Amino acid sequence: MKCNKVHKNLIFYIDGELSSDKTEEIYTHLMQCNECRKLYEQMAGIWNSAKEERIPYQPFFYTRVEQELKNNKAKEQSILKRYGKVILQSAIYFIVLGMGIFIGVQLGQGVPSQQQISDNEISSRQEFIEAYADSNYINGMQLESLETEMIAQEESNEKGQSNE
Amino acid sequence: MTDTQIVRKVKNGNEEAFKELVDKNQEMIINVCNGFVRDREDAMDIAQEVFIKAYNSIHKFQEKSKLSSWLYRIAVNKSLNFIRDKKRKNMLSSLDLLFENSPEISDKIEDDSENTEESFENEEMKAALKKSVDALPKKQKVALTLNKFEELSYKEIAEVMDISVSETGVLINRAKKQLQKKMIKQFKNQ
Repeated sequence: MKCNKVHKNLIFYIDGELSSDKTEEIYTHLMQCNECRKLYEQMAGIWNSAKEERIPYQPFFYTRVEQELKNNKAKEQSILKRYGKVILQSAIYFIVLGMGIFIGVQLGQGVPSQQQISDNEISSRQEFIEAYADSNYINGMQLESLETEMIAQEESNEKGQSNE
Repeated sequence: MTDTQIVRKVKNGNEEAFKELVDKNQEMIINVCNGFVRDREDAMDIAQEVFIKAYNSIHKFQEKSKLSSWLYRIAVNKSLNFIRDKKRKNMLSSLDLLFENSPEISDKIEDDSENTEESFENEEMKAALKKSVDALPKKQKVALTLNKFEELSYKEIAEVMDISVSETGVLINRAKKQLQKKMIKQFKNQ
């Protein structure tokens, strides 16, 4: 095996990830080539020591986590308290405003504009007025006949006076 | 208690079960986080966030995967987010220093040069390797970190990353080749 090929497989050789044939070949090469052996030793030294020193079990770690959880809950509650008030106030304002608008609209509907009254509505109202007048004996025609009668009486009185 | 029993009890708000969940998995989660951020205190803080997230979203855990895989997934995401935020902060603070023309920059450079002089070659190489790992594409970095530093099997990594086992193998293979190339280049330059 050539040096170049050994260099390309060195890291896998160190980690023991090569086939037994390839491992054997590299081993033989390293036994014979000083330069490659030096490179192997350096690389193995660095690669194997690259692992961080393990941090052992921490007996008070749960207390830390528990405390932080409590702090988070307290924070959430204070946020809820602070923003809850604001949200409640806004909701009340919104409801009052909504009710005001609703009442206003309802009142406004009681006085329709001239444009909003349809022809059917006008005729139905006229019918109602006529029916009302009929029931109360204030028929327009009747009022007219009374008037004409009075005028005729006045005229006859005037004629009588002039004849005299 | 089995993992299934723990999960069901935590879902019902049992705090004792949650304590068991934390105690059983804390070492694994702290070390996964440390594998990414390489700082003990930061790793502990992130691990704490992982368990809080797990507690708050346990109802979403459908028990299709292992509890440990689910926790690993949260830990990986939290760690990557932490690294991203830290990079952003560092970038902004270095920009601030640059614009302020603060003497801290020159001090820092002097300090670094002193360290370089004092440090051993091996330490430099280790630091360079870590830097190279950090520079890997995100998926390769996650797969390699879980495999090399956490010693998770390909199957477990596939479950955590929600990818196939063969894809996991490809990612790790590529990551190792890239790191090997960089290491050889550095050794030859020495």
